[in-house]
Amino acid sequence: MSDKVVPIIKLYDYLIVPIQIELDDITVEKLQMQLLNEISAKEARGIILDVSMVDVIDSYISYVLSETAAMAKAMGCHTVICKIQPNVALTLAQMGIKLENVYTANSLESALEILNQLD
Amino acid sequence: MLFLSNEIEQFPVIEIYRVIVELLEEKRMEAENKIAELREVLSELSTPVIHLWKDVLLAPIIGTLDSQRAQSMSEKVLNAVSETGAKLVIVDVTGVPLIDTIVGEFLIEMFSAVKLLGADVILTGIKPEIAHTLVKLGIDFDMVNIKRDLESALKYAMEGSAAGKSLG
Amino acid sequence: MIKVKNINDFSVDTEDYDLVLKIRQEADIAVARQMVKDFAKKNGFSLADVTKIATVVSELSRNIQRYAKKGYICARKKHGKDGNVLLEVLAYDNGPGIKDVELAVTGGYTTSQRSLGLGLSGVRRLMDTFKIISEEGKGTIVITEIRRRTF
Repeated sequence: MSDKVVPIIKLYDYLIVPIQIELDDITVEKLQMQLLNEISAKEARGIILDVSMVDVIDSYISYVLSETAAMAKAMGCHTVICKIQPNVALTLAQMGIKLENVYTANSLESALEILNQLD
Repeated sequence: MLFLSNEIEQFPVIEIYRVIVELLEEKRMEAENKIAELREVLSELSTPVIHLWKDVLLAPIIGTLDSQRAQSMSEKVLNAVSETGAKLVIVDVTGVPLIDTIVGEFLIEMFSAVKLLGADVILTGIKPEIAHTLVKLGIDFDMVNIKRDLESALKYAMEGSAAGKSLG
Repeated sequence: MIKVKNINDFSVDTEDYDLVLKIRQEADIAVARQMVKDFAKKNGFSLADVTKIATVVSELSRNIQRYAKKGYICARKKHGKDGNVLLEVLAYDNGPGIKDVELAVTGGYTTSQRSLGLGLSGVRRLMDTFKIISEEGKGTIVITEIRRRTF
């Protein structure tokens, strides 16, 4: 049985995860489990969440992203959130929402640079 | 005071008055349109975002900011970071005499947003009044690098680029 | 015409609104967001403000779906006192209501595990005006506006 909700691409010791689905309690649960299983199976040291297609990040989505990063951390894996849209970034800052447990980057290259310099 | 209506018979006071009011109204509308135009030009001039070199943007702020201009500027800077993939934004406030708490908050929010795009912020040219406002607003110095003046900021940026190390 | 029961003598007439969306299941959140987004775009709001508005609708409709199970998101274009254009978003439900509104709005409220509270403090910071009326056992109404910028 495959509960794959997102495509996950392996690059070196890292996993790239484009977020293109609507996140709700059920899909989030599946996403997190799929991710953790993949981290374990591929022995990944870092994950890159690509949010370039996410045009709204509210308090729930921010919480979910931080929570996912915490779970990855528990498995010894760093998380980089990549390509937040500029208007979304401004909205998050103006709402006073902080993303916890994550690094942020504007491109895949920078995300990889960040991960390479860790650990 | 000389009243023309007293001196000249059948002096058309009302007609002339009407014409004067119309003329003044036209002038006023012209002036208002001019003001709106100038406002737009001012907006472009006063918060330019300059692409200095590969990873570095410079955003000098000139004159006092109100919340509308601060919002416009934040959007401009963020779009520029997103489009150029810049790793560093130098915000120079030498030209700003003072800011109120609303604008100060806007700036702090802009810095947080720039960090979310994976770029660092250097703030330069801070005057005593602005230092006072920013600290009172609880600016987080872990989030912003402060340099005394534009020269030190540019030197810092160049050293970072030259060494090829990540400015993150 | 749907007239809602009064909450503390405040009634909502959905006829006054350009957009009325029913929120009942999670899928409705995305729909509400998209429809209000399109409405804002059509009325000339900047992309940055459209994102703010969509985020606000997301927060408010999520609260309705999660806590009240059923409610409405309404939107309309208005004209302010000095002639500027405003977009008003109204969220209402006949759900459990909020016990301590002050606490909820200042961001101190966490009612369930998977949330950062009600997100209302964020909504208030984004918008130009923010009003909330809530009564335990009766329901909640949130009315919030944003001004369309001139340049």
